Amino acid sequence: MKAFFSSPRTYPQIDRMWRQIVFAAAFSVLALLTLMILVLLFGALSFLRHHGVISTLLGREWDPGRGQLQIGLFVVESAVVAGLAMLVAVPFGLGVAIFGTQVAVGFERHGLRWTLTIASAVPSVAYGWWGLAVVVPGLRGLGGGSGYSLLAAGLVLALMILPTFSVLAMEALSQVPEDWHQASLALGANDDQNLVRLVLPASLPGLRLAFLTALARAVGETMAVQMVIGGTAARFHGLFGPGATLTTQILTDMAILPNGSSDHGVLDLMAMVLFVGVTAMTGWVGYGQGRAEK
Amino acid sequence: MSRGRTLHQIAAVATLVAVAALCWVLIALARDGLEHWHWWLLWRYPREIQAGGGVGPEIVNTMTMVSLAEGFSLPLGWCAAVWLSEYVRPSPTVRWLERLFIGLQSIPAIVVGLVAFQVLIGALHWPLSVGTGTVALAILNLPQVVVFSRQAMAGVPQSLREGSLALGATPFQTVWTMVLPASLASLVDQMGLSWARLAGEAALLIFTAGLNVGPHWGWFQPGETLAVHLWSVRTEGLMPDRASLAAETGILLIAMTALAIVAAKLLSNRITRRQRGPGRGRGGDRE
Amino acid sequence: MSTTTKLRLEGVSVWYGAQMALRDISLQVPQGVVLALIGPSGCGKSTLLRVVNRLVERSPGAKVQGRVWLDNEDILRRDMDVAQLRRRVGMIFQRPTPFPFSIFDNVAYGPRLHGVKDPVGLRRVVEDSLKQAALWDEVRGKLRRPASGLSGGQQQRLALARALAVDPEVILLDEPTSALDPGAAARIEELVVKLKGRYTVVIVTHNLQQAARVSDLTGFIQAGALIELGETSLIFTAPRDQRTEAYLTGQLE
Repeated sequence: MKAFFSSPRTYPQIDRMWRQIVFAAAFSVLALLTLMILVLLFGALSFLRHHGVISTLLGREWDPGRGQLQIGLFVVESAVVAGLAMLVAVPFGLGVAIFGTQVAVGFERHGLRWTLTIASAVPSVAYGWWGLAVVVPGLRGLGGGSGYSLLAAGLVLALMILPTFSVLAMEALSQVPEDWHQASLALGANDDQNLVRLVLPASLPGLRLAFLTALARAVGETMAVQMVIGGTAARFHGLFGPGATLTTQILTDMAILPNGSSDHGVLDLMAMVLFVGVTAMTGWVGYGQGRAEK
Repeated sequence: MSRGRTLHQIAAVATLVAVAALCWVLIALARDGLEHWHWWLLWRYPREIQAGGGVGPEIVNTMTMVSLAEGFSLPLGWCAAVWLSEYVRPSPTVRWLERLFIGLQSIPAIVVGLVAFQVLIGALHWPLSVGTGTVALAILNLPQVVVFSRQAMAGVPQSLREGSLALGATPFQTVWTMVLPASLASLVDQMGLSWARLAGEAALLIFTAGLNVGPHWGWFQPGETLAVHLWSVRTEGLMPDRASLAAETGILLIAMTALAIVAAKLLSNRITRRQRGPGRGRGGDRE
Repeated sequence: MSTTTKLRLEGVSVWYGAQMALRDISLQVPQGVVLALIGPSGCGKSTLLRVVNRLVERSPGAKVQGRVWLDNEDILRRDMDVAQLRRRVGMIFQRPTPFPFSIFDNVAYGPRLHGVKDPVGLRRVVEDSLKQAALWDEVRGKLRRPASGLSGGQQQRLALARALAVDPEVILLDEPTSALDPGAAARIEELVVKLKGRYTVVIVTHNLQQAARVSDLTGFIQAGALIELGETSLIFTAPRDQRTEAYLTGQLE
């Protein structure tokens, strides 16, 4: 066996085998993912053929019992919850990134980065647990109502995506070369000016990546949201009221609309909307943004 | 010297708040979880209605399913990344493919779960089981593996590859004797994060691996993991000690994921240090 | 040569952690003069420049002792407004590092920092600075293009324009031509000579011919200490210290 691999005479054979293997790997990965998309597409399209496209996508009547299946409400609530999360997470995340790259040095910076990395790997169900333990009761006290709400979901999500955003933002800010800092300071910039006029504009591509990645994660999150959002699908109940997002609705309805049932395709449709949205957001930014190329 | 540092000071405050909030999550979990901690939690079976259940099977499921899923998806994804990295010339198509993979790595787990549910359980009639869940996890992991492998390999300077090829090495040899070792540290590091991510998955597994555990471990037995258990206990649990059970599951899960990340990081650093060689002198010339 | 002292250092020593980079430097630079600092690599010349605009404090573990006066003002004192100091003392670095903005925004960066907002005023400052840096003819009409598209020599002249735009009194040049080809280097040298009189210039250089060409005074620094300082022509033809002679002859051969 070893002789096979180390003998020069078999090099061309090995090389050919290897070439075929890697191509097969790439092909099968792509095929698998394409298959996945096709399954969803098929389900979604066949559903749309039976129910109108516009009314399904934009309508907000959801009553499976009466055959009303319009996902507009969920699209809106997904956007609201994700938007809330970003509204809270981005300013704090930027603050963390600024502190971590412009103020903290050596040990502090390292420790911060470690804390954030571990925090970003904390499972979403744990954040959901915390939401149930802290946020929901808190909101109940504040606004009346059960506390299970879009707002609760937004806050829980905010905390969940904060580490992700912060780490990527830190990477973006730290890519600014020391040379530029020195040149800017040498011209008489104070620290805040340097930050606002040089560091932030120069890191925009990386910051954009951080933003979109965090947003994608927020939109795609199921568990943490599901645990605190209340799950009433009928109407929009406002920020302090319960609701459902595309993700939580898919989760809930996988049981109600089992495989083969005529309305199951709506789940594919919801999944498709999520998929297209998320892929468009992250794929847009492209490769190499803010990634170190040695 | 605080002139012109207002923004920085605000940033410092924001950091304090953010870190405090994150610690709050961990501390709350730890406090509730350790309050009624019993070591038999680690091996006892869960109980539906009575108190005193443990998470032994869930621990086993988490470790086996996640590790196996990594074991399946890693080689496949890495080879695919090798193809992208070493065997194709940069072209608009290739760039588009890379962008596609980057987009795909954020695919919501529930979406993959839905497809797995429809195909594996619906069409192929696989049971709600460990096996189904593992396959679903592997599929979820693929795009990320491709992307981080690709990045790890992109970090290897082109000059190294050219040097190898110039010496007469075949692409196969170049990959295995040069590119892989050079990217190994980064790969190992990412593997830890990937493992942690999979271990925290719940949405995907509810409808592929189920909410129960079988009487003994088996490929076709239902396979609830720690993450799923945490969710089901906390939201639908009937047992009287469900509050503490949920918290205990939580800290166990976090402990495992943290361990995985740290272990991977340490190993990765060790690889880097061994490759760089000993004795880097400190301080060079300073003008 | 003017008799007003623009810049004065007294007993300046700098440590990076435990390592001493500058030893008890004392010197005076008259107004409007070009002072060249020569000496072997890594012996503190750049550090000296960075003491004057207090960029040295940015290096981790840096400690500065001694006094520095700019026009009789102690600039090392704690309550000194460092940003204002750096407006009066400009710096050109070895590697031209244009900001990732347009040519216009690069030059306008400094003035904008210091409150110039009106577009007409900015345009005038940018034009004047670019003219002073002998870059105007090459970039007029292309001011909105990214500065990174310029050649190395042009970028260095841009750096000079950028520094001049804030109307400094002192200009520090840290080996400004070592990364440039001879043609571009020569143009920078021409500009330095033109700066004489209006600005006080300190230039660090490895190129002895360059030092001889552009400067009025020359200082020789070795191992962090100022060995000798005097009129350029005298230093080069009849240095008083043996170490200076050794360095000069070693280099010129």
